[in-house]
Formats: sequence, structure tokens, C-alpha cells
Amino acid sequence: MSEVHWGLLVAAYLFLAGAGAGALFISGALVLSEKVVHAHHWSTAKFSAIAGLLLLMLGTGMIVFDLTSFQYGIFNGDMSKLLRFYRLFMTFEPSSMMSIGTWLLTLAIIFALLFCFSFKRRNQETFTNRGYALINLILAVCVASYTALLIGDIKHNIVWSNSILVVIFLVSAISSGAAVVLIVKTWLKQSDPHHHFAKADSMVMLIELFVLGIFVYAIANVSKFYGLDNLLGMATSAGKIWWLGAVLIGLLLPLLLNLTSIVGRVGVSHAKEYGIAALTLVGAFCLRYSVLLAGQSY
Amino acid sequence: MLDRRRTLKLLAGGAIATTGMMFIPADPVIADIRRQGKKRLAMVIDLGRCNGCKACVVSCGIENGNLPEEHRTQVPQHSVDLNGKQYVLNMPILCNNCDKPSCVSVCPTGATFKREQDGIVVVDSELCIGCNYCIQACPYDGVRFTHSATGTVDKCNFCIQRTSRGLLPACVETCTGGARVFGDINDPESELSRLIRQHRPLVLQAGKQTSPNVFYIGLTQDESNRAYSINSPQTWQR
Ligand code: SF4
Ligand code: SF4
Ligand code: SF4
Repeated sequence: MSEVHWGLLVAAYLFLAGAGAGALFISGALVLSEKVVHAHHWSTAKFSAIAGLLLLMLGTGMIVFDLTSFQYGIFNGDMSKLLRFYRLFMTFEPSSMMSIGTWLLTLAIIFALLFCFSFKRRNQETFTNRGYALINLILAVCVASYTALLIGDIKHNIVWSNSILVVIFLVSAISSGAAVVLIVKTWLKQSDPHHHFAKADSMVMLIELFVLGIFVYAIANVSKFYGLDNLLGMATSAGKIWWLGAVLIGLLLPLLLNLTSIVGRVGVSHAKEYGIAALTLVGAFCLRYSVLLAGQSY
Repeated sequence: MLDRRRTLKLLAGGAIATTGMMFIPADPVIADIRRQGKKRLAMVIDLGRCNGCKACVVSCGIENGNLPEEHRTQVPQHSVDLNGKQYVLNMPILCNNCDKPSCVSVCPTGATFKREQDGIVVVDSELCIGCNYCIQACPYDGVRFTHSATGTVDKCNFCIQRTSRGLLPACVETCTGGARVFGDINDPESELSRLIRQHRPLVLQAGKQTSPNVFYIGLTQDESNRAYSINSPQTWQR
């Protein structure tokens, strides 16, 4: 392959769907746990769910904008092409991962919406809220995995058809969801004196580092097997974005910031929390972008 | 103990077609197509007869209204090193209208489908939303492209507007070297079937398991496994 057919906007779509799903996952998990009896956890769950819903909607907007003839319709003043995307939502092709994903995303948005509305009731014990929380939790896992399966379905692609990608995208979705939740918590001026959040966040990042290691090893070997230069090597643009963006900025730096607070037992300032969240989100985007590029670079 | 090859296969989720590195003859593909017994239109390209004139490229562009640089077929000219001497390999490339096309199943709208009556893989431009999923799914680089005048995906469909009326595809009609031969693979009397019997041609990248319906005479086994692109740069210099 020589041309890049899926670039920045598709990476943005995969990222937004992942981060949205991650935020909804954490929000759902909070509602299902006993923690929501505390008002501050209730608010965190509520605003995280709203943020997750908005991210999912934005992601779906990206599909329409970049993965359909929408742009062509705008630039050529052709209404039929502009609105052609409706076919994506009218057809169900079970053999097509994109079709399955579109319906999954639509379903996830509908249930996220219902979940958000269920927060209107102040009673934490309401069955509907817990029921929606569970559905959102399941749909979030499906959406986050689907973003990997969408590219993994391209069987002949030696970067994308790697099954570890599903785990990577899932863990990365949870870590970027955690970043969204961290922004919500910081915005709500909640502090984390016992570093509970930082510890959980660090654990997810360590798991992510481990699975990324497996992926890097696999790609290096597979590249060699096919007589190619390492597709994630620093000499390639995909490799640069991977190592600097996804690994250094998105994982090592926020992990280091978290660990210094935990080990030093110092309170985490709000500025630092915003910083950790921003770095993690940039990293999650770079991860998807570099994987997309690497798969289209040979 | 896992050997290296199996380890790699496992690491890559088993999805890597390791067979892509090996030689697979076209015979089983042909036998499979024939077993179905239906009309299956196919093309044989005799590389020994292709002179690289690109008349096929021009006539295809005119017939199908493609803009310059957006080709349904192209003939990149490669330099080949043989016993220390440089030769030219004219390599006509087009959509293989595969028997097991990987572009069909991925299409979310059903715009890309395989015609029952003749096996041609078609894109319905009224249904295509331009998502590019099929472009990603096709292992043959560049044979699918976004037509700049429609914003939807285009590719060779063996000129269905002509072949449905019993005419030959434009490229075959124009071929100055008589290199392109077109016909029903299930008709034992066709010129195409005779060539297949005589020359046992190869398909490109058989390891990708798409069972192409474009057969090449004169291709070496090694060359048949290479990933040629419709957009390959010309490497032949006179
Ligand atoms: S060559 Fe590619 S586009 Fe053509 S039928 Fe085969 S898989 Fe589809
Ligand atoms: S670009 Fe068109 S033909 Fe290709 S998969 Fe998308 S909708 Fe189907
Ligand atoms: S018209 Fe025939 S001879 Fe000329 S380039 Fe095309 S296939 Fe080759």
C-alpha cells in the first residue's frame, strides 16, 4: 500500500469513540459500585457519562465527515452526496465490521443518552440507573473493541490484523476514559488525597505499557519476516508518532507524574491533574494515528 | 517448542497469510471456479505479447470516463535483472474481479457486490458512500480508487456495459499486442480456456486467498508473489 486513505480524521474518530467509551465505562462502573452513595462520586459519574456521550457523538460526526462522501458533497454543492451517509444507517451488512460498528455506535449513543437522563433522579438506588449503567458498561467494551476490529478485519494487513490490538485499544480506551474522568473530577474541584485515582490510573498505564511491548515485538518480527524495515521503527513517520506521541507523551510522562505524587505522598495539584489528562489523551490519539499510518505504509 | 514461523503466526493473531511467501499455482483456483459451473468471465494476460504501448490504458479511460491519472488499468514498466542484464517487464494491472473478493464482505452498504450471472465484481455508485473500507480490504494496491468526478469508489468491472452485450472489454478490443484475452472460464471451447490449458498461467499474490480471475502467462513464481501496484513507478529506463 502506498497511499494513505485513512488519516487524521479516522484516527480522531477511533480516538473519540475510544475515549467516549472509556468515560462511559468508568461512569457505569461507578454507578454499579457502592461508591455512588457519595455525592461527589455521583457527580463524577454523571458528568463523565455526559462527556462520554458527547465524545461518542463527536466521533460519529467524524465518520460522517470523513468516511462518507459528505466532504465531496460540500465542495461540489451536491446534496445527494452530502446526505449519502444515511445509507450507512439504513443498511445492516453483518459481514461488514463498519456496518456492525455503525449500529453499535448508534445503540451506544441512544443508551448513553438514556443513562445521562437517568441521572436526573437523585435516588442512587433506582433500578433504571443501575440497569442503564450495566448496558453502558457492556456497550462501552463493545465500542472500544470494535474500533480495533474495524481495522483488524483487513486480514492481509500485517499491522492491523494483530489480535493484541483489541486489547491495546480496550486498555487505551479505559486509560483515555480515565483522563476524561480526571478532567471532570478536577473541574468539579475534587481532590484525591489518598491517590486512589492516581494508583488505579497508573495500574492501567502499566498494563498498557506491557501490551504495547508485545505489539512492538510482534511488529518488529513480522516486518523482518516480510523483509521490510521495522514498520514501527523511528525511521518511519508512524514510528516517530508511536514512540514520541503514544509511548513517551501518552504513557511514560503521565505515569511518571502519577508515580512521583504517589511515592512522594504529595497532593496532586489541579494543574498537574489537567496536565496528566491532556498528555494521556494526546497519547491515545497518537497511538491510533501511528497504527493507522503503519498499516498503510508498506 | 514453537518454531519461529509459528511464533510469528501466533503473535500476529494467525492472520498473516504466510502462504503469501510461497508458490501457489492457479490450478486449484480454476478448478474451484469450474466446480461452480456458472458463467465466470475472466482475463488472461500474456506478458510475452504485451509491448507496453498502453493503448489499453487510453481506451479504458475513454470508455469509462476516467480522468487522466485515475486509471482502472495501468501498465507499469519494471526493470528486471536477468543474468546481469536489464530487461523490461510490462505489467498490466487491473482489478482481478476475484472469485472470493475481500472487498465485497467489508462494504457496509452493499455497494460492492459480485454478480451472480457472470462473477464480475461491481460497485453500485448510487449506493457507495465513499468510506474507503473496500480500498483498504483489497490486497491489490490501487485497483480501487476514488473517482474524483463522483467522490465514490471506482474500479475495473470488465466493462460490464460492453460485456453484458457480448462485446469485449475496451482494453481487450484495443490491445495492440493481442496480449489481453477475455472469455468465460467455464466454456472449454473459449480461447481463454485453451490458453489456460496450454500455459497454466499464474495469478498475482495467490496467498491472499482472493482467487483472482485475471491470469498471467509468462510470470515467474517469484514475480507472482510480489505486491505490484497500479500506481507503481516506472523503473524501466531506456
Ligand atoms: S482485486 Fe481487489 S477490488 Fe478487485 S475483486 Fe479482488 S479484492 Fe476486490
Ligand atoms: S467505499 Fe463504497 S464500495 Fe467501498 S466499502 Fe465503502 S461503500 Fe462500499
Ligand atoms: S494494449 Fe495490450 S500490448 Fe499495449 S500495454 Fe495494453 S496489454 Fe500491453
